[in-house]
Amino acid sequence: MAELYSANNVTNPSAETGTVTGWIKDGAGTLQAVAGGTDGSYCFYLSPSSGLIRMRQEISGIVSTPELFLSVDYLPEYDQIDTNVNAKLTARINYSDGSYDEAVLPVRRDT
Amino acid sequence: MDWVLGELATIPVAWLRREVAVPVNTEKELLSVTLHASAVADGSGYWDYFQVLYDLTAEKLTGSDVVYIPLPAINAGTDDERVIFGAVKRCEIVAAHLVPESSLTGDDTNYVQLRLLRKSDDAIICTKTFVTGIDAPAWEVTDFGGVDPDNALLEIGDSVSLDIVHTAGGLFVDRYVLILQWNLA
Repeated sequence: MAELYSANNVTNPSAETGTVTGWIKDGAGTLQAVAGGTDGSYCFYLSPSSGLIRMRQEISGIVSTPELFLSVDYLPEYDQIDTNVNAKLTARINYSDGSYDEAVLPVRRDT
Repeated sequence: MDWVLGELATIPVAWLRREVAVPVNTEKELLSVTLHASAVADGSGYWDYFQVLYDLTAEKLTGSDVVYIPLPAINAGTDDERVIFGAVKRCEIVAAHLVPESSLTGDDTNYVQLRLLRKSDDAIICTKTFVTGIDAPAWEVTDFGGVDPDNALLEIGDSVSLDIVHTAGGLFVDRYVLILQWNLA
């Protein structure tokens, strides 16, 4: 069966407003829209000043489905020389009974 | 893992593209998805084109069966409730739409509300309230909007009614077709 997916459910997925509208920053550091990217004219720049930083968005209104498709484009600011995963995309699937599933995509040049 | 051509400050550069299909537990009600990109230490970087899509091939999303119900005009101020559907199998309503023969223009003072009710407990399946800014153009399909999954499930023998309630002077509702999409549950 051919795959058939919905339209994108992410608000401001490519910073095309030139802002980070729709996203919440957790932690210390910088989250801003900058020129560049793979889709349109802008992308997000995310940089921790200490500890962990993240940009977060809650997506509701997704009807019951057997499968979600996640995708993101990433460009590290620095060449990564250690073996740690220093950046990742996480999708937490929240159910009405309070439970959740979590999918984690590490993003490294050598992943 | 793929590489895609992008830019940074007008300089062409290859970006890393990460994508994955994630299974969802369909025995539970999906409430929301929290998406977050995170970075620590040397993880500073640029992110673009976040996507969260869902599988449309699931019957539950598309509505495998559709019924079209022609309904008469209703005068402004005349409330009305009538049966429109009966469950001969265990099923669920997944969407509702209407196509009026003349435009229905919402009004904040004199408005009308259309509700689909599961009659066994009068649970509201979905609602469309025609206040200012909420219109239904003539001869076009207008969606009711979200369906409450808790109330959309019908056991054998359940019925669904269309309840029309006017507020103040109400609104005239011309003849229309109500479209119901439902699936086996």
